[in-house]
Amino acid sequence: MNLLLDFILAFAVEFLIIFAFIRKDFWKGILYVFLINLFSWPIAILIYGEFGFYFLVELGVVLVESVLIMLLFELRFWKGLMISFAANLTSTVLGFLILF
Amino acid sequence: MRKAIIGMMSGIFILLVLTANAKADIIRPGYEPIEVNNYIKNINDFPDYVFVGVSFLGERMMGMCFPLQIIGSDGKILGGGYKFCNADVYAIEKDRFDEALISEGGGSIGKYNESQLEEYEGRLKNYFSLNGVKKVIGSVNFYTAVPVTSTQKSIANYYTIDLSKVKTEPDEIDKERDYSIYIYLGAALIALVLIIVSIVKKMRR
Repeated sequence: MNLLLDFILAFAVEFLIIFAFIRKDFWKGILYVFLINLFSWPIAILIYGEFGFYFLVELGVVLVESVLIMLLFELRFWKGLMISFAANLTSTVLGFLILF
Repeated sequence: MRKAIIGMMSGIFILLVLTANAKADIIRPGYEPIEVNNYIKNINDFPDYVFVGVSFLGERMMGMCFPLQIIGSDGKILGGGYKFCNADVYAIEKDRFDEALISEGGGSIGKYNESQLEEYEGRLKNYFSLNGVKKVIGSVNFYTAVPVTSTQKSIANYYTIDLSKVKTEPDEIDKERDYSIYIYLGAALIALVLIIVSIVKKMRR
């Protein structure tokens, strides 16, 4: 699977999860989730490619995305963290199911 | 209830991450094999020796490994055969060099049945335990796989032979890298700028 497809899949899954929690403006939601993923995904794959540590990289992604969700969707940090965790967990699980 | 759900989700997440590291005889998804070359750097410092590579899988020589090879003056230790075959390198004094025995294993030993292979391995073991025959490198590796997003494209391992030691790690590792993957950081940077603009706009409202 090429990297672009990986990105699209991660974005689509995370958008669905995040939007399920935050039922705000649909298009703004898509834009914000796209920007969040466009920021975190390239950095994550590059760090993972160089150093491994999948778990730590994924943990970093969850934390960074939770801060961005909090700021962009104007939520409390803990809600942002929970949503980010759920979105990343789902995209990771689906990624594994597709890859293996 | 919420704590239980978060705990369960964490458990699934950790389990998935751990199982992702399980090794199997397949290229892991998201990984690609890269070229691994191995060289003896100072082979020409030992004109009185012939260097022979002996490939094996686990403890045994196998038909699927490139069995025996005489290492040339370029010092390159050839891999070949099955990707997980490793090699030991022996330095043999020229006057002790048994060309017939080594040549016998130079082609495909797939021609041997199990008992013939055992018999040949026995003869080789005896030969390699003679005076004047020294193991100088152990378990040379020819295969590795890296994440597709790794900058590593090939690895060259260099061994400097010391006849009194068995090297198990290369003395120098030269990794060829391709940094073009870093172009993806441009996308992250653009996204960061747009995120900051959005946040600043929200704060001004």
